[in-house]
Amino acid sequence: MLLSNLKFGAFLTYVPKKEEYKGFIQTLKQDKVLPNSGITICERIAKEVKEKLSNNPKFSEFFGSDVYLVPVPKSSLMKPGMLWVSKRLAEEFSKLDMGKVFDCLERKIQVTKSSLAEPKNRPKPIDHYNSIIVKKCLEEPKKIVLIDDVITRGATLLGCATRLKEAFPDASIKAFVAVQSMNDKNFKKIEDPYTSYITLSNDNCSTNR
Amino acid sequence: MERLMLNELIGPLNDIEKKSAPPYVYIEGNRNLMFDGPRVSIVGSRKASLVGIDNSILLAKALVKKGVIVVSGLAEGIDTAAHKTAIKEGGKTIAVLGTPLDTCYPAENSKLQEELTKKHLVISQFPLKLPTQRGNFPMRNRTMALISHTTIIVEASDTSGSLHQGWEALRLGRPLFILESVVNNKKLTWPKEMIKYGAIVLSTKNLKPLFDVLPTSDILVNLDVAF
Repeated sequence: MLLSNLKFGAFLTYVPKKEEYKGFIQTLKQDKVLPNSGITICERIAKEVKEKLSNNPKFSEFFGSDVYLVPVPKSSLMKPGMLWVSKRLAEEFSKLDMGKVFDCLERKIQVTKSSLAEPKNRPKPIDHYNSIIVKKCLEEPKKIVLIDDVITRGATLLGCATRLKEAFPDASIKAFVAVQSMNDKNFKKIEDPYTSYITLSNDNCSTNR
Repeated sequence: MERLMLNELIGPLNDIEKKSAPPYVYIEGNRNLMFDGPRVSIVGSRKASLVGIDNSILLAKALVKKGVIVVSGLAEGIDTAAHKTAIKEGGKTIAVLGTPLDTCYPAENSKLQEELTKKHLVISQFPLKLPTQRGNFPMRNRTMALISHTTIIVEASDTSGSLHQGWEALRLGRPLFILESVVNNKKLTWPKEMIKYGAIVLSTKNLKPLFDVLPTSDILVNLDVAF
């Protein structure tokens, strides 16, 4: 049974259809070093979030020394040493004492990349749930925050959160993403801290946020 | 000829990028090409089929039209077709060699290498006079993946050197495209394996997915001041 909703926070917002945002997302997806500051974009985002959101009451529940930061698996399978941006973000948050990295989810079956698929062919929450496992571990976290680079509809997060709830029924589960996508072409700001809920539709096939 | 640290050529590197980056590269030609537009590698078999050569030509033409710099390895077959087409179409091209700059392999491409040196850009991670060994070529392919924003594998057997480049692109988180014709070849096992790890199938009839992932020019600088 899939979770029906999940609270999430986002720091930045982008509009996929706008040309000027295209490079921004690729920079994040490759964790590029920013030439002016000499640090990677994941490092920069973590520092900005720490500085700007740690005293914001809306975001205080997402971070803290007792929070387990769980990186969200990519849509494809992973080999050791491959760049995994969600984990890079979790590591950078952890370096700033915003939680500890808990790498407990693994994608066992590759799913279609949402950004490349027609909306009707995008993987559903159940597809993510069925393709991800919780790795065996001895830890029993009480507060879990899923960490991801980009949220489009939230299907991946809902599939992951359901898996985690099964494995850790007593834990509170939320999600924090670096960037949320938006379809409003008039949207101009990049920095736009935001919290909301991902909710499962009545037919269990889609999500709203 | 200039000797540069790789970050002087392509900008600062993250830890994943540093792992297989050569300490230095030797370059000859127009260094400004590195800033002239997105760089896309077209790579594949030396003993290419006619369809493979046609596809290499088609891709190079389409990329030049979009202002993309065509990157390849100066090998015979797919690479040579990509370089020559980029030149013919009035575009720019970069060769990343598996030999030092003072050597040409294959020897038949010496005139092409000379032209690239004069009007385009040739890059090697191997110091002059260094004897060429088989292991140089996979190293070159990994460097080519790092230099390119995106890689396209046009045609390759299960033992092709291009596969090193494909896996490296995936490791770096760079978009990797495999032509549909290769994916449909039931004799090959590598395309299905790479797709599981994130490679994208590309049809020559629809290059939009490729153009969608090409970076815009000054985004890094803009991003630094975005916050």
